[in-house]
Amino acid sequence: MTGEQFSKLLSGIDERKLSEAENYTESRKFRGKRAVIALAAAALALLIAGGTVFTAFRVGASYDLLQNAEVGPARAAAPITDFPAVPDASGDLISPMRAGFYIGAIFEGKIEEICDSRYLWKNAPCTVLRVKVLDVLYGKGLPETLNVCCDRCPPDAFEGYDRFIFSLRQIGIENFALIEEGTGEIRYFDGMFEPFGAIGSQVASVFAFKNGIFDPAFFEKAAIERNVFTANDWKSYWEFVMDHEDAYSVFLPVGRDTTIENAKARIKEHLESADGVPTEPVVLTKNDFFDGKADLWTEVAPENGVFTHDLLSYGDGTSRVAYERRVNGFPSCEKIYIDSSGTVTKSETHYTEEDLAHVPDIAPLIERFDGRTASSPSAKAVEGHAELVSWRADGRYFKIDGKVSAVILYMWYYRFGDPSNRWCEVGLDRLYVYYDVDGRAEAITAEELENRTGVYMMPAGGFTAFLSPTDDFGPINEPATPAPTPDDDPDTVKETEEIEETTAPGL
Amino acid sequence: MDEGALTNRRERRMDVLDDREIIELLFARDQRALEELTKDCRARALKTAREITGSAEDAEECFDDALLRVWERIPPERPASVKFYLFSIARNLALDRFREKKRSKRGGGAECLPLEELSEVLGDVRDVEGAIEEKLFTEALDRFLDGLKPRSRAVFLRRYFYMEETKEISSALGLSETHVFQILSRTRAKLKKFLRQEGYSI
Repeated sequence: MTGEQFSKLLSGIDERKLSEAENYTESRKFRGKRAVIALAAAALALLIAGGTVFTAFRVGASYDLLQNAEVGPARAAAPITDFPAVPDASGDLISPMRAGFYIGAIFEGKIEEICDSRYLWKNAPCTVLRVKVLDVLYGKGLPETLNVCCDRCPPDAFEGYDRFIFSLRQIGIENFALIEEGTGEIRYFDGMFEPFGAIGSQVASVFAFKNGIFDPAFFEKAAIERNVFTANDWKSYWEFVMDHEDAYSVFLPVGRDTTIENAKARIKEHLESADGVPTEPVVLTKNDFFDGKADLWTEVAPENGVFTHDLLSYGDGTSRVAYERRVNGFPSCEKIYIDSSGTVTKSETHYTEEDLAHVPDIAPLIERFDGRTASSPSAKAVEGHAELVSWRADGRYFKIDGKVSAVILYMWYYRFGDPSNRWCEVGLDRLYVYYDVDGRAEAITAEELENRTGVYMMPAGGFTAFLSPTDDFGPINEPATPAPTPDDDPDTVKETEEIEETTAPGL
Repeated sequence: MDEGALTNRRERRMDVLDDREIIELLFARDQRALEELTKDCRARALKTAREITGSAEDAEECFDDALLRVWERIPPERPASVKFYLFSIARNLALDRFREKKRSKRGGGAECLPLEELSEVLGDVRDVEGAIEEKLFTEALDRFLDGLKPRSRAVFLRRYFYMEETKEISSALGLSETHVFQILSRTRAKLKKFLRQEGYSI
């Protein structure tokens, strides 16, 4: 067998393994650097007699983190940055709160402070910067300084540069919460932004300049990601793009040895073209926004969950900010929307404190369903007609019949076709198992779920006929059938040799 | 239907369309699907194809061909992940091109280190022929990978699926390059032993 045949056959493996390989990297890639940072911190602590360096985590990033975090009252911890009212570009004195959400803002900036604290964002470390806005290329009402949260960026990557061009979007007006690793405390930030490709080139969102000249090496150091690209991908991708500008139809704001003034001029010129900024920024300026925000505050009490947000656009060009409540770390269908006029709209499944007092724990249910695949009714029904490729159990909270209930989304992925010829279709089947507050389980279809909750979910891929509402899924406390583990499978290779981990050279 | 349900249907993330949305566009024969796929997958696919073929031009052609195949196959096909589907096609086309280069008299010197490493270990493993055998072999591979520790699995797949350089892997995982070499070497040996146990040796 040749290497290429083997590698080609690898394409047929469960793609979740490939995804997990990348996620593993995301969650562990800075382990060595963290260790070094910790050592450096320890040394520093000795020197300054009591200094503390800690890592922080973003709320909502991980169920486990939330479970382990000591979640206090919403305003218990003071923000590390207190924004004063500042003049905007027109000279009016405004609060950055009043400036509202920006989906796209592009400006020349200078880093005033790299926060000592370390945080985790989506299980990856991130660095928080305090950035001074020097020259706004796009957007209005930006504060003079703002916070930027860069995931997977080591803090030292930003050192040594005198200027940056940032393309950002705002991810928190206030109550952007992070958890410090050392203390487990949640800390709240005002006016948090993150890198976002608003320039339209889709090639990068932060450009670093040393002595006024663009430095592509920054991408390697900072590891600012776009989607799944790693730092190394970025570096090679960027170098390839600069060497083959004609091969891409994307806008390149910088090339080798571009000065910051030239880069700004190119960006401004591009912004005026039809292919410039893809989306108008959402800027909430009305005073009634504050009323809405105050109302929102009463909904954000984190004892039973933390709201996450998303930026949404619609076919008519309008945009809204949506907050979705997370309960016990899992998403629920409760949403609060703020549109560009500042109007706050709550979904009809608005939760009350009484609702939240009777929330079932969804995690054990998911674990339990992960062990039931072999005996699932769908698996039996399609036997001989399709191949079960993979399955996944997930959970979500809905408000059904006036009560917050757990619904397990149990998904099977099937491949249909003739194995002697080629597998020609991949199907997705979803089963929704609804648990009421008394622990009774019931299998329902997506359509039934929508009828009961008013929430649309992606329908099953044409295989709902295999589901029967009378299937017995047992009471909520029935012991789970454990899924086979590698240790139980005699055909599975076991790893017995542990290789001692080493730190990367030079660290 | 209430307002919440309608908005759930209409909502779109600002930056990236998900797989389902792209497939919907493809079923509607909307070429924006190809633009989204290009925006989202091009760089990653190009890099891997370039590592395999050793040629930026070949990599470009593989990606463009893969994009065309996605357009032709969806509908009726409905892959679980259209992005992974596109990436896999581009990657397989690059592997085909690599093989052609190796066979071609003019194509001497075609080299791809990860593939060479695999060939060295798997040289005495018989070829897999036909769809059924391929399927059985893939299932065996799944079992093999299931038995690896997550770190070893990540290193192995980054090297032999994504064709990353050992330096890249070491940097991404925070390991020394020597450590990556060790993991790869041991995993290859385990693979060979596993395939023998599965009856794939001559």
